[in-house]
Amino acid sequence: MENKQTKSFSLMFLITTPKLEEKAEHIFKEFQIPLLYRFNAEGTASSEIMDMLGLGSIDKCIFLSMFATELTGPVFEKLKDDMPLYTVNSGIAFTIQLNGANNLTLKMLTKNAEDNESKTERKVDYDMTEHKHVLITAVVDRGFSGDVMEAAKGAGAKGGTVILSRRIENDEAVGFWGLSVQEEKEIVMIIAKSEDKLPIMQSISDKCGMHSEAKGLVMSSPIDAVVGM
Amino acid sequence: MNPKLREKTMESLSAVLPITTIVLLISIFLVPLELGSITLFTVGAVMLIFGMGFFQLGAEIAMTPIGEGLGVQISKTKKLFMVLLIGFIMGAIITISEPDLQVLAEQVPSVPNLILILTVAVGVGIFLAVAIIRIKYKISLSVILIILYTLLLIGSFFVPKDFLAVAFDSGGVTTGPMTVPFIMALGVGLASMRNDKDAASDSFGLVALSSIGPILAVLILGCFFNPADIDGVIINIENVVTTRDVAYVFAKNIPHYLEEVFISLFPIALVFIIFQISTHRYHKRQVLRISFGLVYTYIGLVLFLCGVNVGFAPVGSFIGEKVAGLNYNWILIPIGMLIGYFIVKAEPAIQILNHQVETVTEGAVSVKMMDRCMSLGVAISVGLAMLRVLVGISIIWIIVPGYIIALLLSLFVPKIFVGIAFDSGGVASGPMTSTFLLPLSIGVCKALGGNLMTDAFGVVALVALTPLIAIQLMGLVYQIKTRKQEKILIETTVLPDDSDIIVDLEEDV
Repeated sequence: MENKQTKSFSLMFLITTPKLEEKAEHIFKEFQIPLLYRFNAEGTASSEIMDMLGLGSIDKCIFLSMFATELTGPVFEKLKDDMPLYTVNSGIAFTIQLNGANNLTLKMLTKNAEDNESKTERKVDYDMTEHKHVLITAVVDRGFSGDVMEAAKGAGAKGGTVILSRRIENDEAVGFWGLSVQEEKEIVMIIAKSEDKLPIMQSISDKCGMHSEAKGLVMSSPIDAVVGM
Repeated sequence: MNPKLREKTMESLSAVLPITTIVLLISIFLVPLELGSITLFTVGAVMLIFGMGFFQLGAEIAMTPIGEGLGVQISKTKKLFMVLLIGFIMGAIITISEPDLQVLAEQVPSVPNLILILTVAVGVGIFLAVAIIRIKYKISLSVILIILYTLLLIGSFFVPKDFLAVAFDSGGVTTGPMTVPFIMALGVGLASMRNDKDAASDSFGLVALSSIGPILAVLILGCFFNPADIDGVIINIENVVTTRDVAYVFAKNIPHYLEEVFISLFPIALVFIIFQISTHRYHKRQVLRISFGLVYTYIGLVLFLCGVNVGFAPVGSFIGEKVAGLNYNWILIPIGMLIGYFIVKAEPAIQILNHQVETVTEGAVSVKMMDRCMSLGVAISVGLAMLRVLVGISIIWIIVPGYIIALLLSLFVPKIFVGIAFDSGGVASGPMTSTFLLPLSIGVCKALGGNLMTDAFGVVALVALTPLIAIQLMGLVYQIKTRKQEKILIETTVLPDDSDIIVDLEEDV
């Protein structure tokens, strides 16, 4: 049973500080976004010395939400003006295209888009096709996110976000592919310009790759639109 | 300004300033204080602010990673005996290093200090081992708590009355600024290796069980030693007039705290070194970071303890004595409640607990909610404590029903709130309580000529009791709310049959 749908939908990540959390929630409420999830993360250190002095990273929180792609423009505008996302350290938001969902989710999102019709009339052009930015993700052993960020900054990255996580056991990956035994990981997410993608990834891989202590993996994926760079 | 530094500065300012303001207002409108004491108090408050900032930062980058690392490593250990042994040793070491325990030992003059400290350390050691086993084998916290507290309450009937208040105080006192960040992180580490749905709530409860140990230990000691009158706790009000006097008083006291905190921190540093050598868990940069963190913790605790002992304790005792001497001394109850409401925020370990709660519950229980609950809880306990000193009700009439309510609640509220609540009791009663609230009630008691052992003591125990009820009530409200929402949901929405059919949004290639 396959259904076809004409509208397109996006998954949005908003990374911000706990202080701006309420404001963000308020903005999402204004758009009556039906699906909104949050989880904790950490910012990355600004420099090695600051990191060692414990003044490096600040707490961050990530919102994950889904809505019709046509809402991206208005939501981004609102975030930019109200958070305000154009100031330093306030946050960043980006979207990724959804290419499948269960029916109820889509109905919910379609209804939400219809409710917001008045807001989408004013077209704001967020370039969705050119892929000017990418999401670079590095997974390293716990405690190495600082090194990753340093390598990335050397190649032109501006900042990143760290999610503390734990790898679920997979003996084959450890034994055959030589992944590190340590289970506690740090996932570093970096948004970068497309043209910086390769240098940044190569730099991370050189300094924190599988041959280093950090035992890092690096990958990148396309994103549709960004605000707050 | 560095954003992290700003965050920490704001945190410690908002923790210390409210209680400072309240005390200053009391000194203006009710009990005029000499300028010398006020200067002492103000300097103390400034030290508190800096101390709090350093301590928080240190706890974050040193104590938490060490505790969490140990927790993860313990949960990987397969041998049960090793787990128990490590748990016991850690509990004992960390208790001996708790600066508050030294204070408690002095307050119980009838028992030799060394015997008291060792007994309490063994008590905490055993119960920390029990708590670790509990997390590993997923035994319900409320069942264990009910068994242990029933034992405690039964035991309390056999102990000389004079010992009772001190015994229950000791539970709150021993889980102080040293133990809390470490043990809380240990719990997070232990629970992080489990994937089941109770893992988050099981990361709490370690502090709760650890604070039962000391109560039981002191109760047992109480059966063997005869309580004597206390002379040791009389607080001298230094005669300070000039700024030089103020500087002199602090200069005279600082070496004592430099030494005391060093002795406290040393075992933890040692544990870290042994742990690092045997597991190589942290790499060079992290080791450096943790070392910096330990230095921060040291500076922070020295400043905090010195500030609170020199600046706050005498003012607490003085205010207590003077207000009790007023004709309308019932005013102590509302004043006590006001002080209680604001003083919890200044407990150094509170923010660590609140932060941990917010992180583990992913924001469902926010720092703000915790703050409000703790403040209300402690306001009530200080009010009750003042009432008790004024009227002379035995502590048992408050403690027994209090714990029965708390334990009954634990059967109904969501698991995670039970852990948080019972942990928060030990956390709320830290150095601020024992160096400001206790002198306050001692002051009141002296002015009224009551019995110090039975009337003045017990304030810590009350501060440790009410958060259990307050936070569980918050949990109950939370549960009722979600239940109501669920009900509305089921009644109003009938899901269409095709809800779960997957729709492909990809364009045809």
